[in-house]
Amino acid sequence: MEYLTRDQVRAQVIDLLKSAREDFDSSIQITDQTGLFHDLGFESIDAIGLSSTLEGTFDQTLPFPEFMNRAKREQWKDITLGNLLDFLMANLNRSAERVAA
Amino acid sequence: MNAATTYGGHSLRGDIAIVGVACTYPGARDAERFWRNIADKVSAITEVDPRRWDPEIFYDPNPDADNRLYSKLGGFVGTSFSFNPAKLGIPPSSIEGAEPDHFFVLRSVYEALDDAGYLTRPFNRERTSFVLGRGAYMGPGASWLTMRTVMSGYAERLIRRLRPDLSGDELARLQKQVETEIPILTAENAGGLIPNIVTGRVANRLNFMGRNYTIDAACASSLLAVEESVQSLLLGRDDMAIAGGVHLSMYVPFLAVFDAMRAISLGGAIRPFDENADGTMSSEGVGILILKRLADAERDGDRIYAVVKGTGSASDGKAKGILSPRVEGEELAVRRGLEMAGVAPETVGLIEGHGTGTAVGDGMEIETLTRVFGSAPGGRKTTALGSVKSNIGHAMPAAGAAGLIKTALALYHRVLPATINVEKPREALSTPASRVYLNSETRPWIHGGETPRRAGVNAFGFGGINAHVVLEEYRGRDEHSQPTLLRDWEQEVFVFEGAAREDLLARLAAIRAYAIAVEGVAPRDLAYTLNTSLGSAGEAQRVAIVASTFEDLAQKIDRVAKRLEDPNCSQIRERQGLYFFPSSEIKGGKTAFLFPGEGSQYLNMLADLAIHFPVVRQSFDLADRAAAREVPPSAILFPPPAFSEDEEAAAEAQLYSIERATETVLTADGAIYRLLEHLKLKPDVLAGHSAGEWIAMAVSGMVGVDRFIGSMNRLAAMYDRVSRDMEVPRKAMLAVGAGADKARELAGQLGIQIRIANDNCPHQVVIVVEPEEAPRLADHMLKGGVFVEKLPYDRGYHTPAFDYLSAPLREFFGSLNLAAPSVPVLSCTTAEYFPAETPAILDVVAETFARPLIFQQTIERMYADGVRVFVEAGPRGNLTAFVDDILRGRPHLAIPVDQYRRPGLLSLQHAVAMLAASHRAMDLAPLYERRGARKLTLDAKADSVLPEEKRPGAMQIPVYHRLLGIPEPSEIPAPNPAPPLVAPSIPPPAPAPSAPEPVGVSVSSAPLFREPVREAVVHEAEFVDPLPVPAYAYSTPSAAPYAVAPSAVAEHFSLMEEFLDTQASVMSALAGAPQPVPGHLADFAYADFDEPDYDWEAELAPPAEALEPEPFTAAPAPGFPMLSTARVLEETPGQSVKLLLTLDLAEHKYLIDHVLYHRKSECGHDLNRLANMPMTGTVELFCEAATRHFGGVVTAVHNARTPRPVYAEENMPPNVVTLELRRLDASRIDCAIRATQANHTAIGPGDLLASGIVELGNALPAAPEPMTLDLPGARPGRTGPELYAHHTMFHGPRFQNIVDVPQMSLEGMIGRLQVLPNTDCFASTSAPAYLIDPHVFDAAGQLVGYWPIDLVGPITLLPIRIGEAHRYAESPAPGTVVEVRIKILELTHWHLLVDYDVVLPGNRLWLRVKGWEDWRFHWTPAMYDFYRFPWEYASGRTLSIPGLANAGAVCQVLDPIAELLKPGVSEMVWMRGTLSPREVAELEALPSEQARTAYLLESGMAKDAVRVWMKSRTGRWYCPPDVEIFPRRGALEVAGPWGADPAIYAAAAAAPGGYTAGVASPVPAAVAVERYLAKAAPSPEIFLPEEREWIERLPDPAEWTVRAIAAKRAVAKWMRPEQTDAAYWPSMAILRIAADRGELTLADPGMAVNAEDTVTVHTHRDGDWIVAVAMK
Repeated sequence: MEYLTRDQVRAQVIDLLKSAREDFDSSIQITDQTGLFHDLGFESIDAIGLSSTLEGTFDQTLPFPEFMNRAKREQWKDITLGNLLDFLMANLNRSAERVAA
Repeated sequence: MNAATTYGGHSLRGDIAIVGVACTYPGARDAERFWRNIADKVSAITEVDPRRWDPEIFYDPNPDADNRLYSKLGGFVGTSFSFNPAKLGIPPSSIEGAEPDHFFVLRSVYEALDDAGYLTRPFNRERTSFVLGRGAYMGPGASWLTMRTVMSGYAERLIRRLRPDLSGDELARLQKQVETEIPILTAENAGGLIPNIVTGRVANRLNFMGRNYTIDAACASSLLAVEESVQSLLLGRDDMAIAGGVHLSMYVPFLAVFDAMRAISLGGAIRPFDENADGTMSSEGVGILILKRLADAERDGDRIYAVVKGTGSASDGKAKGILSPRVEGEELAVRRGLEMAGVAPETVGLIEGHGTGTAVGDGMEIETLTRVFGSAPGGRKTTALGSVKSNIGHAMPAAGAAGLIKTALALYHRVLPATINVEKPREALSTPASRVYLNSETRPWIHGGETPRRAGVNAFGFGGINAHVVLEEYRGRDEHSQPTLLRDWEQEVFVFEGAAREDLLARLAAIRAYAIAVEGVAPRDLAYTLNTSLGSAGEAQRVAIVASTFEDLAQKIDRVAKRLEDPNCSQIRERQGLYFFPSSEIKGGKTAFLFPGEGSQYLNMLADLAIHFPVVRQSFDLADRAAAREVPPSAILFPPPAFSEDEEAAAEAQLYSIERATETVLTADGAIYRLLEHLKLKPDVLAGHSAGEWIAMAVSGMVGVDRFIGSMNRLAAMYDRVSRDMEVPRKAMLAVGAGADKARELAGQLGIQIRIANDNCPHQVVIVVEPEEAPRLADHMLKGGVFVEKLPYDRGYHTPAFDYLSAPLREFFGSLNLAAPSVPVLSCTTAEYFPAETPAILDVVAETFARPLIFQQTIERMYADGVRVFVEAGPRGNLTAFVDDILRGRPHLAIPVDQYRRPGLLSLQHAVAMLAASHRAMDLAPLYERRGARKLTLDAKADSVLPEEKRPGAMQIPVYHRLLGIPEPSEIPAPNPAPPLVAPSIPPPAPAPSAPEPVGVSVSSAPLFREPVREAVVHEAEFVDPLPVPAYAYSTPSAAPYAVAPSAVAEHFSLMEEFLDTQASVMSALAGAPQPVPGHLADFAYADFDEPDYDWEAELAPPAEALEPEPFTAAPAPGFPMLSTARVLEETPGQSVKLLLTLDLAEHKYLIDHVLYHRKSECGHDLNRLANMPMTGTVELFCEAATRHFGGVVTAVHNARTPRPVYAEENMPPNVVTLELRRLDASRIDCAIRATQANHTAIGPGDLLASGIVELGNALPAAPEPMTLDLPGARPGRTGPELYAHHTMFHGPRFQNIVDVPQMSLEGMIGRLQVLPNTDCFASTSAPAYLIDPHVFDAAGQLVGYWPIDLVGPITLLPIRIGEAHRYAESPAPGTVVEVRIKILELTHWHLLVDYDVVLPGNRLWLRVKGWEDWRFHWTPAMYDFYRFPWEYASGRTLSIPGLANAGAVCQVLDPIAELLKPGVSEMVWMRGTLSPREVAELEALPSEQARTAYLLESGMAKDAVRVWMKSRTGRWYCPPDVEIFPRRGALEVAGPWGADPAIYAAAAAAPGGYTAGVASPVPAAVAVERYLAKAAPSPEIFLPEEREWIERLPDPAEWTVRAIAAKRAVAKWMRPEQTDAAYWPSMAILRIAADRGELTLADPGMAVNAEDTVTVHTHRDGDWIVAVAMK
């Protein structure tokens, strides 16, 4: 597996986010500060749907429940795109390192 | 003890209906707003407006300071209130000086009658009484009387002591100054100070012949007034009784009493019944109730808010002190009330406490309530307590009326109103010892009890007088027919329909234009009109929008329209509330209702809907009634507000117990179904999740919804029995974020047995597992990347573990006598339709909990059978998410009616919007009918309603107190050289340290008193009354005598801008036919020009994608002169930056050459100049900031606008603004200048001063060929020096770039500009490197402004927008001459639109500007000249009246000019150009736009007349600021550099609409203006019969009638200049009419009639106007 830059991942994730919600609001500009639940109106089912879509897109299993549980435990106000990218970058590149090794 | 004997043994009993209410309290103009503020938990406590009492004088935060108030806070109704004297037959003259509360009360009584419907229905006025609670506290009238009668004498004494050197004349003059603001005591207003005249006035005006009187029982006054009224009705003495209370005395002496008692909260908040309550907040207001015997009210079809069952009152007897309360007295009052009502205390559900927020008062009251209402049964608190004082403060004698109105409205709306500011209720309220709990939330009042809802209201007064009123709800009418006062919703749904997409777009555009243009229409009116005129679906296309305001709607229409213009747009579904579902698949699809089951309940679900929709609340009432248990379901679902996390957790836990879960969720499902049914939405198929299936069965007709809810008590009893008798196996339930197969696979890996209980959707199943296996399995699943959540149930629902419930369920449903379903129901346990026969139905329903839920398959089955729209008719919205997951990618629409995280009303409206957009057949009228929505014509003009204060006849009555005037320092004669003799005991006052002393004025001239402020009285009676000369504040603050506060300046500008914006929108909305062009412009051809070929709007919307564009390769050029005073506040490199920009005239020196007006004074009446940043300056700012922070080269600027001026004022602190830049995409930067709060420049709506989009590139683009202009018949225009010398352009030297204009014609023009040396533009640099030289760029705009002046006539234009400016070269060097080629695109009545190129030597293109737009002002030619040279022109036109000329007088008139009546513009022209600093200060102090406009018009014409008069006498024009006008109650005094000789007097009158006449004459004169409308026959009663006869005999009686009216009015002003008005004028008698000369002779019949006492009036008809001038 190749290394993906954060920008490349961001571009792909933004596409996925837009298609994940049918009632996506075209006036919203998605930035790293955009919150999935508050700004994009995600329901928990959508988040689960997104996790499996991300796994499909990047073709690997991701410890998504851990990530969500951490958000819950630490009482995040929302999960932002930035949070999601941090999570993805940590995990995608870890496996990329592994592949490279 | 026997209650009847102990508490009074009432024999007088009976039901009294409250049939009308009206009130004004802080923050609430009327009862509707009052109730909404309570429901919305609004605090109306504010800081005092200095006009009420000035904190600078009277405030000291130290509570121990003598004679000072330690709190600036309180509840205030404002500084004035709107009143229409004509409507109530009150002469405006009797208002001045009277106690304002008379009119405040009269207005409320009138409105209460209106509310009760008795303005239009007859009632027996002979048997109508009025009793009002009112104290004799010091009102404004009483205080001015004190000032006039006591203080002014004292002031004279004081002045004499301090300045023994003053002569008698000087003293008299100062004394006059001191008294100037205070009304004279006359017979007419003297009565106002007698306390009971207020009720007398009401009875007089409304013709009541029952008793009228006031009651004073301090804070208990209102309730005692009610008690008196109730008794009078029960005795049969009255048929209607009006009761209430008023308090309008928020003034220093009264407040000082409360301060002395330390009764006012030091913490600044009133917290009734809170542990931390530390005092009250004083307040004011009026509340009026109309009472009738209930039987009469029912007979007469009155609306009944509530029923008064009993009243009780008692004194404290021998209390500790007269100001301390006593429990025994309070208790006796409450018990007497209950006893008269015959009501058991435990049936009372709501208490409106006195609740002053003082520790002692609250403590006593809780003790009283505990004694009377007892302890909480089983620890359950049943009686809500609150106090409206938490919202509005303590309104003293009007407080009881506030509490009573609130409580009546609570009963009427079935709402338990919130009390605010509560954090921790007092200990005594938190224990089971009291039944009463503190209610801090607005909650539906669910009630299943046998007795009606009941409530009590307390009011306990100083002096130990206590009162209590017991109220009951009225159940005699269908609530749905009763209008609600919660009429304004946060947002509304708007549905648009069109046969085809073009029609839909046209409809959207039309409504957008309408919404922007219309005034006084509520969003609900438009929603109602649109949504109840929809066709029946069919082929039409529909868009539904959820929007909060018309502004929001317009923006959303723009977004929808933009998307609809794309023919590929096949669906819109945006969370913000934009919906469009045109696909035939959805349109034609069936509708399913899905009912959620256990697990969807949450605390306070549907509370919002239950408040707004009786049909929803009634379902919960029904459940309570049916439950017939000690703890009704509502106590679980809507528990008393929790004040700690523990309380909240306990409440949650109860809601999840098995029997409560089913009961509450099914009741909620049923309530939502009832609401959908109310909207006539019909399902084609039904299903329910888990027990939700039972509601589906009920809805289908198998049971009936009410019957099912009514039998749930048996279901609950069955649960109780079964769980008692059976050992139910314990299981764990896990929600797993995966499909069934994956869940099985993961469990299989551990060898754990699971059962799938719910197959909800591809990403969620609920599994049942042995409790001990659950943790291991959950852990394993999480590690496998699958979400797991343990559900709060300990049994295996939907597995065979629930077999034990099958038999009881069969028995329960068997007992309900099931019918066959009339709407098909799919069962979620079988994914099959329910059978029709009872035994087969029972087979299915018995297994509800024993079989797995196959929701996924059920939805698939629905889909296969044609369902496309799924409506989740229940709380929370989970099923919607499941359906979306199941049908992902397939056309469908899942709609939750309720959503967990959204307010109920908002969710409902989104649901309604989606349903409407998907063409479901519905009747939306029920959403609006109780809210009194208007059906609109959709013609903006016809539908518009003026706000109250602008309606004809409206005036503002000030409620503030007046202080003695303070003479201007210049008005106080300098002391004699000899030291003044000052008595040693009175040291001379020290100078105020911050006030620099004007030279030559001694310390003793420091102000003795604060300056007074007076509100102008503006009215418009039956005839077009003149705008009276307003009274003004006479002195300016001593610190900076001639400074104009920047905030006021900004306000004027923002008003001007608002006007421009509104005009522009209105004009474009009404654009159909262009306005006719007056006179010499008429033959100018506009139609030949092409439409502009660019689209500004397209530039506005930013793209949606996130950005991280490549950096620019070009480095920014150095320099950035405009940014020298800017510093970076925030920066996200490459994305956005925010700068703080200081507009300092010391640095931005060039600005002083951009002052929009001209002004000259020859005697030093100078004002600070107000410099205005040219639009091209803001463009340069944008360009510099964009390239400095984002790199690259500026290639273009788009859509630059300056909605509000960016200004800086001389000698004032710099204007500080922010400059915000945000990257839109790879090349475009969005720029905005905003006002900052710091210096209060953000006045009015919005803070945006300027905006535009800068486009950046890596290099300047290749320049296209410049345009060539062929201008046949062109001729040269004037040269630059001529234009500047003639003030055709206002610009100063640094902006005088125009060289000449070689060619100009109707099609365009060519002008030449020279780049000027820029060495003296900035302090920090002498060689500013501009990107687009703003001076040259501005001068190109000057050419545009000059074009019509030369070709068309005097027109004034100001740029408002630059569509596009493309830049192809660097700014040329100083000395370069560039050519501007301008193509005229469009000149309309309102604007001028051009394109132009700026071309460098060698025919190289520098700038290409497209869509430069100027706004056009319509001034008269005289005004145009006056604007340029105010010192050598008159602004008005001379009216030649022979009689006047013979008397040596001059009359100047001003024709109505729309722009001049608009505050911002008129003030720019008149104020900045013509007023003296003293006049500016007076003007600034005026409280309203109307008053300022009247001031400007009248002083303007008075100055004009004086200047014309002086010119004719001396041959010399005086500068307008040098001719000073001193208003003195009607007559005007004049001062000028000519001194005392010649003596000259002035008079002026402005009519609404702006026509103004000014007169200058050698003797005192008065002028009046009347509109002459041939058709309007004025009412004859102002004429004596013989006068009428004379007029009728004249050749033109209609015209002479108006002349005579004007004459009478002028004479009245002349004879009694101190009276502003009308009570007097009709009585002036006409003695003679000389029709040929237009002269009338009049006299006051009350005076001896001989030649010396008559007055001659010269009248003249000027078009539609009659001018009358009275003089000796």
